[in-house]
Amino acid sequence: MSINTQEIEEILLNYMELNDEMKAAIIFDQDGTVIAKAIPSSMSDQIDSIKYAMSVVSVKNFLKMFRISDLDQFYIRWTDGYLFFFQIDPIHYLLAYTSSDIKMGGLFFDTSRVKEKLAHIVKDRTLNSDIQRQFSNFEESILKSYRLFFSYALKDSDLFNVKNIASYWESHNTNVQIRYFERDKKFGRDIYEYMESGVAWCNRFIWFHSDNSLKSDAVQQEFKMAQNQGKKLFTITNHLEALPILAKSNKYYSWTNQASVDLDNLLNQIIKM
Amino acid sequence: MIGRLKTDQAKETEFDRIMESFIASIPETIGAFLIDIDGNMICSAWDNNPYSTNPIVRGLADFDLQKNESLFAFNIALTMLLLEKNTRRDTSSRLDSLYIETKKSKIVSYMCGSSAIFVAIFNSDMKLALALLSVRQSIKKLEALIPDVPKKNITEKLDQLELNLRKSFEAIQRSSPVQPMLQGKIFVVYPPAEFERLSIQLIMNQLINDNPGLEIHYYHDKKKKNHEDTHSDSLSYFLDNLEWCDIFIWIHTKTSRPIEYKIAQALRKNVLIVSTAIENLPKYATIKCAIDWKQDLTTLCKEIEAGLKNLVSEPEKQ
Repeated sequence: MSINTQEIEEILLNYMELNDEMKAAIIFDQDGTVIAKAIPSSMSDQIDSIKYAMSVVSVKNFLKMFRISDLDQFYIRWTDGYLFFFQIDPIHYLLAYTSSDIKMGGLFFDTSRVKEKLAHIVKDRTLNSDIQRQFSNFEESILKSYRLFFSYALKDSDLFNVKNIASYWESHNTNVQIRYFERDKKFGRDIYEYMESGVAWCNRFIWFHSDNSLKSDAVQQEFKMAQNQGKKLFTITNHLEALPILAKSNKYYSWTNQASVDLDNLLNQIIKM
Repeated sequence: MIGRLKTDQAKETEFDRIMESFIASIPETIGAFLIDIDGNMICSAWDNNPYSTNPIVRGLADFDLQKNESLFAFNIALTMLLLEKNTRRDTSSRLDSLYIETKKSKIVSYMCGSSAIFVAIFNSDMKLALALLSVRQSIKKLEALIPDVPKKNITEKLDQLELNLRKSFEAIQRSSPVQPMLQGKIFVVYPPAEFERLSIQLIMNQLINDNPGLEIHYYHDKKKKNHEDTHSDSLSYFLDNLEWCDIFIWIHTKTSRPIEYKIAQALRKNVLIVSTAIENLPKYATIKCAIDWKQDLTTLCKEIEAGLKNLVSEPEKQ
């Protein structure tokens, strides 16, 4: 998409002029694309926006994983200065290099005004990267831990024997953790918050598909969240013919009756996704 | 509440004492953690006051941090390692601390010696200067106690992660680069009698909507005063606008007047020809910047935009 880079560069130059301790300012997105920059030529070879994007996603992942609310800004102090990362919107960031003598109060005040102008200019841009998924895979490859979120209609709890499956898998596998509504939704806690945090937390999303689950708004929303966040989706269905194509394109297991289910084998399929 | 320790017994009491003291010294503290640089939790402590109404405290309690300590430790170490690796400016500089501000909390991570990280989570009421002072004092005491712990070799695997990400980033850059917005002053000339037939208004609207950086003048522009208000005659209107513009778009039909093009050439203006009768284009008109008319106006506008971009970036083509 086209964007008025000249206007942004002018804003960045004016922003830098406000503070003598500012060394450079860059606007980049979560894909690592530099939208505009105001840097002295001596620093140009030090700019690697992909690394900045990785840094931002790492911090965002950390916050999301532990539900410590949304990122606003972060800064890193080095022995020779600061790097400030200000979130303009969920996908765009303003990076400011400063010396170690910067007065933060003044910088934050100037930045808040500049952020508003920049947000207006970049507001229509979108991203298509899968950086979140790559980070998740990376974490999994090192920790070898599996976090399963069960999404099901309450009416199907007995049909799929949800509690027993969770109990069996957790007790027989120390590296498997499970969240499901009847146990992990604390009394008084907002259901949307439960859904959002559970989906963000998991690295395997398990949909217990049935005619009841298709009628459940909560299940549908959880599935969409998982899909949007690039989670690995696994469906356990008791009605294969009614399984949406989207779920069929991911891994699924056809549940006929409880007695015939080999839980160890099923978990193995989920882990190997 | 003090978390479990993964160190030898002799140091546990001292760790407990330091962490307890830290939590007690700042009421806004939610949790404090000592993590090794390879993602292992060394010790942890957090405010577990059941009467606390702080949403972060509730959040951490719901999340069952004790059960997920290894995940927490890994993630914060990964973040610090990435920042250390990705934002270093020169070999002499050293990462000192990371400060994260969210809507409801503040997180401070400090390097503790060269092999550990001290992390403290505060609620949003925390005064930064006070917290940093307290963190630094605790770090001094903790540095001497940091034990050796098993390695996960995150640093080695980070290189592979970066390589993978770089490949996918580069693919994205190729498919959707940031295009600088078209900017400039454009003067569009066409036979006025063919305004309706050529759908000039629709073309102008689309060009203006898609390119807010362009300022376009044309004879029938209703928003601006037309030539009769500001110019004594058609010629002075034409000459004034021709002088004003950066690029002259000549919409050529069988009824166009070649003199318009000749004057633009004489004034050394960048000219983009959009011709409905390219076979009738005068021989002296360059065909390098001529666009054949398209019935599909969206396609036509895209071609005009592409032509304008060429003229803006490579004016010597003229």
